[in-house]
Amino acid sequence: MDQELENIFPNLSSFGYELTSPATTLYNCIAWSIGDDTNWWWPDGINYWPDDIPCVATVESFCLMYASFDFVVCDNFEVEDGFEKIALYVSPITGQPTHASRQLSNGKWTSKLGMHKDITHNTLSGIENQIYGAPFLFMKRVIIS
Amino acid sequence: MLAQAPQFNYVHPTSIFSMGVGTEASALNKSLSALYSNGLSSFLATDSQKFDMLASTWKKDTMVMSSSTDMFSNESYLQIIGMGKKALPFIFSELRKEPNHWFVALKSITGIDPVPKEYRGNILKMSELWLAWAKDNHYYS
Repeated sequence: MDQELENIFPNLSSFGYELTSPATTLYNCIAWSIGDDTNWWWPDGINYWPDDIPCVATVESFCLMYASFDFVVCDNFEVEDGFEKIALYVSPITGQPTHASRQLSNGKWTSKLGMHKDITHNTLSGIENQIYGAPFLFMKRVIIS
Repeated sequence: MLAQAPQFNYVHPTSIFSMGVGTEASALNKSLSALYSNGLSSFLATDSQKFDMLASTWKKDTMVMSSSTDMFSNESYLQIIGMGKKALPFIFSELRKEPNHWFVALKSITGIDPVPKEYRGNILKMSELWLAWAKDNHYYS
């Protein structure tokens, strides 16, 4: 367990989590939600962002980016056989995306926490806080075996 | 009849030096005022100490952020950019120890970007390209 993370995310210890990687600056939550652990993704003209997606940090732009990887918007975060889901967190202060988590087949969620570690967290609420805000958008895609 | 409450005139601690005790006191007064308005970082003895403190604070404040909007608008990061070219040797020293998100600061300070589009987001490669630029420009040998 990680006291530093639990201080930043006060819900984390009560909802349950596991550390799954060491800290690294090499990739972030958006990359990890797509399955990339070699790049930092953000629409800022400095980091990676797909060429054909508007390079602005809005929910619409993130939605288009995920759609280009075959995700479609869905209305819940329940586990569905044959699908993987992502949850996009948005800051209630700025209205901008802050974080993305990817659902695992057991219903838990995996997150890369900025420059910090990867974790598996039992619920989306576990990492709600003032920095991340709360889940705002859910998307899913068919798992191709 | 109630006794009248004693009257106190509040005197700001830094203003006592401007009450006619000489130019040295006046200079100290200005320094203390700057401390109040700019924070401790402007009073650290060396640029190295100032950079270390700001870099450490930036890392701590932004360690779980993915949003570059949030990471690079952080006050400590902006103060590092505000150090200008004095910050460059320290940033390159940091980059040699660990690839990290110094690219916005480097681009802001130098006005150039040696990273071609195809390497954006590849933090290892971006660090490597910036360190090559630093070597070519004699920031280290």
